[in-house]
Amino acid sequence: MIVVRRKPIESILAFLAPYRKVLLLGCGSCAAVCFAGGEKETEEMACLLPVMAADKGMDLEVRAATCQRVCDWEFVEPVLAGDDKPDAVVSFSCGAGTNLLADHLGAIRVFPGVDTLFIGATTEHGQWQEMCSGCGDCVLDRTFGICPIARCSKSILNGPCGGSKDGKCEINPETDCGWIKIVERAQALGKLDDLASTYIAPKNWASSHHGGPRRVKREDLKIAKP
Amino acid sequence: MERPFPPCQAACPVRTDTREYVNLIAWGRFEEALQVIRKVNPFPSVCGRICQHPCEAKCRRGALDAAVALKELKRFVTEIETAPAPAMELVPVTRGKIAIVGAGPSGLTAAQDLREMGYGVTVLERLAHPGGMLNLIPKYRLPERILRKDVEAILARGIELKCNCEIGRDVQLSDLQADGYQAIIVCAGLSRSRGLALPGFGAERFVAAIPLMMDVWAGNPVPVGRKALVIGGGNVAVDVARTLRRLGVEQVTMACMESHAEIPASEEEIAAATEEGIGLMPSWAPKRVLKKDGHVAGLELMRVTRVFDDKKRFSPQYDPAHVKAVAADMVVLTIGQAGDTSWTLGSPVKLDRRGRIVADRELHSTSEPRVFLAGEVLNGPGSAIQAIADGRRAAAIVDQFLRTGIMKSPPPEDRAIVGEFPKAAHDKLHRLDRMPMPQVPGPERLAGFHEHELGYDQAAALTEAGRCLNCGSGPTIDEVKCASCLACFRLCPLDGITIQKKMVAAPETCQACGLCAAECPQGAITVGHWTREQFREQIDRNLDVARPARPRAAVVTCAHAATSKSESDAAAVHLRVPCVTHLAARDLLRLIANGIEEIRVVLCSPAACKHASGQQRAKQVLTAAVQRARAVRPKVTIEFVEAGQVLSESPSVQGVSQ
Repeated sequence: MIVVRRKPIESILAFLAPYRKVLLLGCGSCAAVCFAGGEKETEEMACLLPVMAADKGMDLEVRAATCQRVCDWEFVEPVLAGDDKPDAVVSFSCGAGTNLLADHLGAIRVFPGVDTLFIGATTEHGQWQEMCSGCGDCVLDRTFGICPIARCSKSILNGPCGGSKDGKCEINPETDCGWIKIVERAQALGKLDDLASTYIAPKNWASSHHGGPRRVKREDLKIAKP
Repeated sequence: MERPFPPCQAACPVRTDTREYVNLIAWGRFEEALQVIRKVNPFPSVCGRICQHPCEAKCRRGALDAAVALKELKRFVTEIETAPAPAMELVPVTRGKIAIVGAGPSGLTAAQDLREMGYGVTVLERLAHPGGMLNLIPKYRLPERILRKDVEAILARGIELKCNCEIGRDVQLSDLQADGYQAIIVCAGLSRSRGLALPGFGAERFVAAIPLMMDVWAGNPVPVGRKALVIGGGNVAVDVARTLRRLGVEQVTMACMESHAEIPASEEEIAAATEEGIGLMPSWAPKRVLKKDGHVAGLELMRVTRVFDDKKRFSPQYDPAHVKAVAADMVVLTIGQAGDTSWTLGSPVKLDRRGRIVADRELHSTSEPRVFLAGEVLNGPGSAIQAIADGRRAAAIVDQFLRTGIMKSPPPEDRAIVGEFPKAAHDKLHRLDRMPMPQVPGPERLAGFHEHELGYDQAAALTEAGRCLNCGSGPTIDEVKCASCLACFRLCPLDGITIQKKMVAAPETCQACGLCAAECPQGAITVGHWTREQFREQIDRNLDVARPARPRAAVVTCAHAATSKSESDAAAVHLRVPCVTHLAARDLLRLIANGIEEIRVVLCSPAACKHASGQQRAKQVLTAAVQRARAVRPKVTIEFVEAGQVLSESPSVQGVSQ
């Protein structure tokens, strides 16, 4: 999932200073699962935001709605249907959804209600960890399923580096050394020799963001309606 | 999808929504609880005293500690003092007239149902009072005023009652047919005691149960001896034995054919009899009457080796060599009852070879069109609640027939029943002792016919009602909203959620604590009848009422702690939740957004709370919510207060959303 974190309420309010009618738009997918932008979080924000606004002398009219997935316009469209359009939308989806809103919303200003952090997984209730960087050229076959790009602080392709100590990373002693995890995994599978003899050549980072915005286009899926 | 029946409701012949009324009691909403019972049962007060409570036998709490005391709770709620009911507006008579023979539980129930449907109803009763066999239940179990209360409430609906009017004696079936009654429902009960072909039976002090109990009921002098032997093992036998003790018989012994394990009387009744010094002789049957100076002097009993055959059919076998003489100067037979069919003589209602009325048990019909049967006269001996259920059924069939001309039995209610509580979850459940029924001690009871069960007080009733496991009222999940985040799965204190593509709550495990609904990031879960929207309305309504005073404090009380004094803060907004586990962070934020700065949450002590394991989680989540809110309102505080079950005038709360 894409892990997001709610922005501080003060920041959100600061965005809204020139606006009066505001829609807080929650996302019922990843943002809900990481307890930052689903119906519950959006409604909580809808409770508190007008109070804080009133304290600052702002007249804010807030409506909250949550759709199934903000990164698909068809889910969003009904929420914004009708004549009563907001002046601004605060999106509690990941940046993908917020971007899509901006593409569609014309005169309506769009703000992020969350910071989009990473592609990650739940490690326990209330705890998420980055697991993938979306580099576009997966090496997990050679690193036994553990990503050196996402889980090594330096994203080095042949590790560990000299900063690895007692299985932890020199960048942050609470962070596991990604490469030690790769080594342990290879060991557990009896494939340590394979790892030792594998050299991962420098990647072509063009498939990552360095080649500009990426897109996937599948001609076989294209719908041709008469 | 319909929720499955909780086993208590499924076991009740009239399908009383037991869980609902017990929860309403737990929340202090007694009047509404009574309405839930009344909806299906016109004899709530009677059933609160003498119902055999098949619901309790199926209560799933029984497998954990002890069943919830449902009969006691029903009694409690029927005794709550309320303002006199406003005069009821009678349903106008818009349909034909119906005669009902017999003013017992089945007859009066059918009468009430049909009257409410708009029929004109006349009830004929052979005795001087309505109530049928309920009149013969000893007053120490069913005080007369209790029976009258229910009966009068039924009759007040505009039902005509003719007492001292026996069919076959004072009025003939043909008279009723000629009088234009569109249907006649005979609910005459089983009014005759069965006898035994023993010499001397029928003489003074060797009598059958019904005439004896009729005399006791009527206050006629009843000649008794010093040592009595009661033959029979059913509840009527226990009634007779306990009555004799109260009439001054020093030594009463019950002898029955059934073995100790097979005794048909309820365990409670046997226990009460034992406390009152009544002896029990299971597996003995009368063989010969012993006489002295022409009077009964006892019975010779023989050993019964079995009562039922392998197929559970009545097929007794004896050991004639194993006999015992029991001295007694009084013998009462309580070995069953039979119906009086003399009213059928000369009528077209047919009897079979054994003298029983030919009838269709499913359709309540007889060989004569428009003449129906209901209750024990149709089904044989049964409990009061079975008779009530049968009366309801007969009324539905008669109504359908009169409206459409079609004879059809009502469709069965074949909803699923919540299964057994999984063994794996037993240890996770909080044990709570059943509240004992306060009793007059055994020896003191014998001084008269005063009721010896004293009834719960309010504190006992609230505590007992709080033990209900809410079987089957667990979460429903909105699959479209559900983000499959697994929060409910991870959070459930009883591990009652499984994953089948989306989340599924196991009805047999869930106790409806509401933690999952409060935590769900998508608001996709509803538990019981409690919804966020209803609570939001409650908040808005109560804030509106309080608004001129601009309250700064709110007291949110767990409904189970609702009568606690600790909620009496006149300056605060008062709100109720079914349990603190239902309270969500955003509920508190809504209060804070409305200017509330002090929040007090009143909850049950962990020792008394059935959701004790969820309390901690609720406190954690709510405290975190308040911390978040401090970004906006730095002075907001939250305090958790444990409530005792202290009685007080609770401030008026604008409707507790369920």
